[in-house]
Amino acid sequence: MNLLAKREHEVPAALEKVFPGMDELVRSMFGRMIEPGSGLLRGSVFDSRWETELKDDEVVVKISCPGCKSSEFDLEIVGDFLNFKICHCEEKENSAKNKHYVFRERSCAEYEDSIKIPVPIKGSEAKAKYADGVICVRIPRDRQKPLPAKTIKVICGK
Amino acid sequence: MAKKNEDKKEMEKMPAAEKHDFIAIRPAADVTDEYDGMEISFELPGVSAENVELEVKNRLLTLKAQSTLHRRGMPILYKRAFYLSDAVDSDNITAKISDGILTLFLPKSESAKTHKITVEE
Repeated sequence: MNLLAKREHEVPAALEKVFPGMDELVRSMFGRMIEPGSGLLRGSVFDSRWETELKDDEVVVKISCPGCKSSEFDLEIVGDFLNFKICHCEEKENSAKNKHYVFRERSCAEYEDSIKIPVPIKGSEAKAKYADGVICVRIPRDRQKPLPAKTIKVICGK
Repeated sequence: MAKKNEDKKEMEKMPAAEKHDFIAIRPAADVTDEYDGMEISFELPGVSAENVELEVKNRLLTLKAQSTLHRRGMPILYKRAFYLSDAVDSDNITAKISDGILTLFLPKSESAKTHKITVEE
């Protein structure tokens, strides 16, 4: 499996205030560039391992991880984020000495990512199922919590 | 020219889903050489046994598998082909799929098998 660890490093609190200013400076000099982890780059260069589907009553997240066991997954919902971690090592399974690789494209590694769920959800009622190499997480939507909306007034510039 | 016409006819025969409504992806594969055969394992997440199409024609092994997953709004179709050498006994190829991993076993013909020779003192 091509599992890549993608979680960003934690930024010390003192530096958090400096970084937005630096970003602004870089943007003013070079324009807006594609940033690692942005949706634009992820959709084109790194093919993401997951897809999110919004339904009327639930949110369905499908994460592709073929050849894994259910004990190798670690899923958690924190606020409106679904965090997942997969620890899979194919090497252990293929420890037979008489196996000789002609070529190898599948790799063994750890993969973790966070998915922002765009609508209010009931995280405590989420269910997950693993079948055909895909984890399917079903999270019921919370209809009572309104979507954060803000009205923007347009003023005529004359 | 005749080849071009044949290709066009072949395209026309294909169902609509095969022409446009999918995104074709080359699945990752591992190939291992063992004493009595070769093993190829493909990563096919979201594919069940009934959606796998395997064919050997003129020593070309072709795999097509429709997944339940989508990319850029279109269903994924995994496609890959391998040329088999004469050393493969193509009549006895076996396949099994489990947890999104398709494993093919390609037995070697008798002449291609490794025979270890012990040296006598």
